[in-house]
Amino acid sequence: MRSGCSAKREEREKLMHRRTLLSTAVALVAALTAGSAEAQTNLEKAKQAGQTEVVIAGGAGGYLEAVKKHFYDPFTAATGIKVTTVSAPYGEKATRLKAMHEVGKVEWDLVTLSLDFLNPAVTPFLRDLGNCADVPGVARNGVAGACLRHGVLFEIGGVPYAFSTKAFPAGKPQPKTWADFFDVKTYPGPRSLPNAGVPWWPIIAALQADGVPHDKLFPLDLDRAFKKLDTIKPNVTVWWRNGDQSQQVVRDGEVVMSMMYSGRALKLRSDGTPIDVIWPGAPIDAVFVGAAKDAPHPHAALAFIDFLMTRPEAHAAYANANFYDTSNKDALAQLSPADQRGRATHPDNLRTLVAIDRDWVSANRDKVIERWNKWLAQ
Amino acid sequence: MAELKGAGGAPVSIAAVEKRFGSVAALQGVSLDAGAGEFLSLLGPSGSGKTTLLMMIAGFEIPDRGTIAIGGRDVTELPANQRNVGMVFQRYALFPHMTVAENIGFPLRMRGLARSEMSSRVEDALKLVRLDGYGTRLPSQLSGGQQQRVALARAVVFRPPVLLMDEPLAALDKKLRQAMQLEVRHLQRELGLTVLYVTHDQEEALTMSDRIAVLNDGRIEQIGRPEELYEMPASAFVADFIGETNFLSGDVVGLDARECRVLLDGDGLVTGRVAADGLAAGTGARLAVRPDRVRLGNAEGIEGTIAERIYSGAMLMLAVRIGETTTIMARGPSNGPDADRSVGDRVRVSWKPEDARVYPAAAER
Amino acid sequence: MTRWRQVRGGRWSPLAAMLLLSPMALLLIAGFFYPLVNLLGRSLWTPEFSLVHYERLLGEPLYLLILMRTLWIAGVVSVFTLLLGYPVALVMARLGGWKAALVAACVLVPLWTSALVRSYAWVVLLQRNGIVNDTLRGLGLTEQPLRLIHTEGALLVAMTHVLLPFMVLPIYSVLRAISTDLPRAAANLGAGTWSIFRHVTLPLSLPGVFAGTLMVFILSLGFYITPALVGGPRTLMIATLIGQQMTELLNWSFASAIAAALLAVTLLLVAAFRRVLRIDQMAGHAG
Repeated sequence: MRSGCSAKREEREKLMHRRTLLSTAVALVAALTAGSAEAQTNLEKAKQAGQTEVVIAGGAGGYLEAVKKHFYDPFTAATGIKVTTVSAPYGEKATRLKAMHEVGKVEWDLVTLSLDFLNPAVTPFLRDLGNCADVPGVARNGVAGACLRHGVLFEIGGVPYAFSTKAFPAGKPQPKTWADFFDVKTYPGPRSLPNAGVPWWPIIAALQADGVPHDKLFPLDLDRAFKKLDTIKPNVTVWWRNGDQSQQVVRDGEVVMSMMYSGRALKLRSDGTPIDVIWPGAPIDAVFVGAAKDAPHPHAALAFIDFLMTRPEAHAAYANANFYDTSNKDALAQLSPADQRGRATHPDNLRTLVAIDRDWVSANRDKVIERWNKWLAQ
Repeated sequence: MAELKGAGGAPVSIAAVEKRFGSVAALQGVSLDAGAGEFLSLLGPSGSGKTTLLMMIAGFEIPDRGTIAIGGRDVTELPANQRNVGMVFQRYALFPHMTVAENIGFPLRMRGLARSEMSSRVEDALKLVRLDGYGTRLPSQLSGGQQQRVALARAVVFRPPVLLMDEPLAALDKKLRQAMQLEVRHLQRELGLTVLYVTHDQEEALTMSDRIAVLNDGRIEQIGRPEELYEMPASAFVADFIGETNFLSGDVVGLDARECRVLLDGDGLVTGRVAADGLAAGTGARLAVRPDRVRLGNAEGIEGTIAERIYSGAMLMLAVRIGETTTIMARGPSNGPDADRSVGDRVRVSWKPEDARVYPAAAER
Repeated sequence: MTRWRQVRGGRWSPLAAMLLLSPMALLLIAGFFYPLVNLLGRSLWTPEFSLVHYERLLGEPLYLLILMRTLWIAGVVSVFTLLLGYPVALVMARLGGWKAALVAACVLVPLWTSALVRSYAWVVLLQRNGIVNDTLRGLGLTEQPLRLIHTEGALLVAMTHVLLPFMVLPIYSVLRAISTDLPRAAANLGAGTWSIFRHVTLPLSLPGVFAGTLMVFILSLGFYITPALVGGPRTLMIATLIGQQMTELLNWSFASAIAAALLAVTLLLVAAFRRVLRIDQMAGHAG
């Protein structure tokens, strides 16, 4: 039991940290005062326009089940608007969105993408929400910085590394930093790093291992990073291409350490795989909901975003099931202290996370990926 | 052409050969001797075992029992490629990816002949089948008859003493078939080959063969010269299979060593030669008589009515209805004595006793 | 009046032929030629005509390297499937009946499982604590686990496994179509088992070998999931690269340029292959 006072202080602290985080990670911060000015809600507009359906291109499998249970179904129950779902990987969704715009027939209203896709190749197909004035729910219920202009923040996590506590049990030296991840003498054993189209993640890890502070990484020094990566390359036996694979190699003991999505790592640990998660220096990874430009049900789409931001208890339940934080400002407080500690937005973790400089990445994306491919192919 | 003449023909001897495929008995104790240079046909309906027998001589099947000898040498278990017998397949089996010359040269190549000798022998073989100049063509560029001649050339170019032919002319039209029959026979005489010729066409067998073996159900029914088979079929099956035959059913009423009198089921008493064992007074019998041996008149014989008149150029066929169930066909020249008879006329049907043959009814398989 | 009727012994009139071909032709136009033209257009007009994507492709050694590696992997897989598949097809053609169906089913099983499941099966077999490594260590042949999975070797094995049916089936169907009279005729003319194979069966089966090799080769070029799951970092294949440009970078123009280059190289190889095998003649013979 903690006192209300300390809880409030924690809350404030968290909010503060989140601001630090998101002010770098995100372009604009919405004014908290919006919301009362609009004459008609998005829901009323949707009803007036006869929009009784909203098409959401989201995830698949267990992930879809969870979102459906905690958000889609309650939305339908509250508004009568039917939710139709489409499942595809992020890259494919971005591609199809582009293709739909090319042929002039957009079939989706909303699309969830990783923050990484919030770049000039994709944003032309997403509705510019400005400071989210048209979606008052964002300012009313979202965390600070939830408005991303071309979308609204939904899930927040990171890409830390997990290590096997079987290989490095408590009482003996255990890795704590990226430098340890790269130290194969003290911590021997095969490693796994992502090769999933986001090469700046391992690059960020390498630069920190080489001594660059987590808040002075950008612009990324590629030469230095690849030189450091060279030192570990022979020990990286698996370059995983998707989250499933990253879990499989850790679960099967194929590697003793793996950089991986925080949700994937936490899920593994809760399922009983003996691992610990090292947060310091993990790049932030997040999922946002974007509204498709020229969507068939634009008002219903915004009404869904409004609704998505409400109900902290649903966010907490969802986060517990899915191991990612969500963008409702009151949700984290609903988790148990132990659970909070494992989350990206816990102050102790948040402080050390690496925010991606999306402007830099956008400008250098092609170059970095090409160099990464070349390095990997050598 | 002298180049192609080998050692002439070799005798083929088949002794008590048996072969089963699963539960089906394909050959049940077949013995057969073909003399050197003889043209022997294996004649029978499909499934009679004639092709199986040929495949065994070629070495594609091994008999369960019995032996096969070529030129006095036991080849029962010898692999096909060491038997040195020529073979012409029903659908020619020319190698589609080789030219005519390559096809004909193939057996020589397998025998390691020098290139120069090979080409001169291929040339000779092409001349032999009158296809000189066609060597560079592909089989697909030839007509059916030409392909057949290539197959023939390929089968004799390596001077085998024995040539096996599996219904080689079945795929050709009638005119071409008749021309090829002569050509094959000519070639056989020219080269002095022993030919074993499988066919289901009795006319073809009669035309071409020195002797014919008639097979039925895996057994040899009769073996003999064409005239013997036609004039003296040893069984009702042979009588039926070779040429046209009237079969008349009835009961034996009188019997001696040579002749047998049969009371027909309809009515009427007829006489014929005893052609098989097993006849006894009171038992069922079948009398066989060729339509061309049937005589029509007004004086003697059994009485009937002309039911049909079939004119086919040189010949005239008359169907005479006897009683309720029996019809006897009579054939004669279309300008012969019966030319004036017409449907509905009453006639009497007779034949010389030596032209009719009587078989026991039970003998029919 | 009778011009459009079926004339001359089974020959189809031009109109009838056109009608019969039109569904396939429309499908090809809509599903193949249009996208192909679109792809070429994209790689050249962005929106004004420019060769910038091709310059990038040629200017950066990485792309040439990956193209070469892709062709190499496709080539090796083609050779492996041919070496393994030809005997299987030969046995199937000889067996006939339910036995051939059984062998065919065994060969086809990999096709009925998803690429993902199949790839993970290889992971389970070949990983550090996998069956192969455990067995080797159990037998005392190795002390440390060998690195088997996530290597080029693993990729070649996995791809050979899944592409085997595409080699076996065309060869099998061609072998089946060879009349049994032909090997018999060859034997009768004096050819032993090896000579029959060498001079008759093999040359007549070449159209199947060609079809199978081509199919395996081209399918290999497009492999995407298997290289990602069982291959190593060095087995980056061109399809992955195209996918990356397509879905991760949304750079469709460059993706189109890579695809067009791949297509050009493939067509060249097919043409060269055809030439070597004189396939036109072979196909004419098989009839």
